[in-house]
Amino acid sequence: MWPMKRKFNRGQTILWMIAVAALIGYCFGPATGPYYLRLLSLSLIYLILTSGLNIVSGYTGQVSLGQAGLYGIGAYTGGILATSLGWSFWLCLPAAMAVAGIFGLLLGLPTLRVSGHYLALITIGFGVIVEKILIEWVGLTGGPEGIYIPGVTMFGTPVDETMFFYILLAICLIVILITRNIIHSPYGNAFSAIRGNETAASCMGIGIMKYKLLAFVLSSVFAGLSGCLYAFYSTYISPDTFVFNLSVFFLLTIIVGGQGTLTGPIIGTILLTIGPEYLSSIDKYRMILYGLILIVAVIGLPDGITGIIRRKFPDLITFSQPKEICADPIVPTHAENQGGELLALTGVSKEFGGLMAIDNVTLTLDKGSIHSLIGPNGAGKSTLINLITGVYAPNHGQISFDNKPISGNNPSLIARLGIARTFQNVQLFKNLTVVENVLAGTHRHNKASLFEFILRTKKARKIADYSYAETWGLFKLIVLEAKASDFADSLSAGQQRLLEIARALALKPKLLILDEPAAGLNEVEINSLGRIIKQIKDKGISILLIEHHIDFVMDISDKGSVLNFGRIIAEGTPGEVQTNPEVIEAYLGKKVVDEPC
Amino acid sequence: MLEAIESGLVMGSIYALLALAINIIYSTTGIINFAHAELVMLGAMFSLAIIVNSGAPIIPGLIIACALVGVVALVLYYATIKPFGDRLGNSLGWLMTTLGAGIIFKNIAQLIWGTQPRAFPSIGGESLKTVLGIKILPHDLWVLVITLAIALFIMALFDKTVLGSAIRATAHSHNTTRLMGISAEKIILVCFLMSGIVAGIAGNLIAPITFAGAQMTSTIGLKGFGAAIIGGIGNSKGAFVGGLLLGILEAVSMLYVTPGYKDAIAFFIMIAVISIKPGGIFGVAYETKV
Repeated sequence: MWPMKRKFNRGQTILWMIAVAALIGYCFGPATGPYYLRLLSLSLIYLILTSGLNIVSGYTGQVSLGQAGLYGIGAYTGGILATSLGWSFWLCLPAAMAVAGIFGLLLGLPTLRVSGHYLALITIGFGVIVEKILIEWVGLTGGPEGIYIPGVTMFGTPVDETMFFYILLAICLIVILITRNIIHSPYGNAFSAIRGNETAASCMGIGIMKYKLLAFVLSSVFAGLSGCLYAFYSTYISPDTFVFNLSVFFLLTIIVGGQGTLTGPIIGTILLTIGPEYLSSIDKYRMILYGLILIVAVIGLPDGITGIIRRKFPDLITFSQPKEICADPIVPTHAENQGGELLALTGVSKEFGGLMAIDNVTLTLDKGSIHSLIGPNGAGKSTLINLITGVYAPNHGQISFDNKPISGNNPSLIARLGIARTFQNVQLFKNLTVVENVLAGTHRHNKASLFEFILRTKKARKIADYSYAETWGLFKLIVLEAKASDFADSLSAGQQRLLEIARALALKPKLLILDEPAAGLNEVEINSLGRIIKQIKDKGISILLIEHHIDFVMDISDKGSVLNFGRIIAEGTPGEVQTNPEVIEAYLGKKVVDEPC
Repeated sequence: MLEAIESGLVMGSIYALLALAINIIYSTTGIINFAHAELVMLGAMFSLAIIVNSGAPIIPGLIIACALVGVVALVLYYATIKPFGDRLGNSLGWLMTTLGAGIIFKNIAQLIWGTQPRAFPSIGGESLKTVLGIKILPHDLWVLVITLAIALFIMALFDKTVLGSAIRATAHSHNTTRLMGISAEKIILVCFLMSGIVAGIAGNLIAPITFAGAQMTSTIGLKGFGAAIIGGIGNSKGAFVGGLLLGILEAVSMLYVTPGYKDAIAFFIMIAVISIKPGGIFGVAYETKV
């Protein structure tokens, strides 16, 4: 999703030079002697795994402590196929990746229901189960004795340690490149969006389950590859390698390096694999020291080493303006959006416990109109929006959009049909920059597969460039170009609200739902908001607006509905609503005595 | 079959005891203490050092040992949880720091007491007693009774006392609790202390079964988490029932497969429960507010 060509600034140049120097250093690895060569090889094998772990735990935010289990599955798949069936190294690699990928899919399935510490425990449990099976299923795995694996041959000649090191280096570079292409694609953007805010991501049309499972499978495929390489590299595997502590080590590497950054796992893995060797003189205290590093690193470096680097070079992430900015990011929808109903609610009810939050609401919204929903605090306005967008499922009643029933669907499906929304409490992806926030809204229009982005095909590049140009067009609309590379939570409250609108517009919706867009805005900002809303309406997009600023509402709406205690008490043009006695009663209370004139 | 259930009940009580203590900390801070298993281990090792090696009288020795574990739990809080401040809930950083603390405890214990597991005296001697027609070790009976007593004590404390409501209030919101004039920090410290003491008691109950050593709780600890999850984390009744259930299911399954798969089965049960009913058997699911 990034622009494909970019110029480096000072910080970027320095870091690239360090990276190239490290790579050249690695190329001279075999000169360090057999002991260090082994360590360097091991760090490359681990790096393949941690790059994958970074996708699921770092970017997507689903902590996995079962990675050693997947690593073991990869190693044993390779080992068993090589010894029992006589498969060659080159055939075992894809097989190990496939098997580990399948197990990763199984491991990812519980994420349909849980996350956080539950997921951590599930993955720990998975790791323990794999470890026990490796020990107990002697017939298949050789039990505690382990398996001896024949050496690798290439073009008929056996591969020595030095040659194997270069093979590892090549595979490792390919893996890093693939990871980079994934992360800089709409898929990577979706992963980060999920970590930032699941509800918002799903309301932007990102299928949470699909992407979580994809992240798990990707990380498992990498773990399987890494495990198989380890099996052939060490030529002997036994269950006591693939233990829980190894999973902790893997997670620690990306925490120390910096989660959710491309360089984080590289820095962390190299540091933690090779670093401890200098402590071998105090071998007795090594594990204690390791535990201390764990505590100090997590508390002292919450963003890892890359976090420090980013603070040192704040302009490291800079999004430059594309050559062509989409002049008109909001596509006119007059043709398909004229006449008739766009959204229809019939008899919709929602209970929370015993409370009727929404009671038998029937509401229709005409195509191309601005429909306002007003009502006192606690009337159920936001709940109604959550019902329309699928965040909640209604207990009774039907909701249909464009004559298709949508009630009961999940938010991402509804968003993909063309309903975009903002939230009453701003729900931005705080871990993402302003640009990436808006890009997350363009998901509905990504038609290229993950493989096309990994290979950077012409189609994928075109889609990426187009979305990027569109995003900048939206920035022009909300006047936020200068902040494009800033993190979303560094914006002012007003800017955050506008950014949410831009993100919603990136979906190119037929219906835009704005939940109190003017809350917390000053007079100037409210005026520019009014201008933007009119601009949106002129393009034929229907708007459902919730707002408390009555002047603002009356000024721009075509029609209004008033909600009180979960029921619609009035409906009509702004003038009709304003003079309705029930509405006045709801807002100002009942008149007891008529004041004498 | 009856014997399997009996041994399952004993191991189950131990899982329940761990789960109860894990819950105490979870209910105020929302975190799972991954160093809990090591606190349990320290309970046994302290007793071994104080009573068996130094020859201190049993009852005061036990009290000192359990109190010491409580103190270690307080240190654990200051070292691994407090530094996060208000960022605690935002990430799983606490998971890594408590894991790290566990690794440190385990390796320090190994440095002091070596890697060789040692025998640990049980309560009530080695002669079998017959209760309700089943032959049972007196120690096993004590395990059941003490676990039940502690479970009832914790439940009464949480539901019936002012301290209990303060704990539950702290769980809900630290800031609001502070505004009500309760020191959230004090409440958390009390909970860590209690959790540590219960861990110490658990250590003394487990050691006669597993022998005492630095590695004695490596898998038992994970099953304690499993029990807490199965019962619905944060729920004392759930922890008790979850522990017993896990113990019995595990023991009964051993009648059909080789004992090596015991841990695998326990964790499989845990994963199945989390996947099917994430709130645990006593959990209540709420719709999250957007």
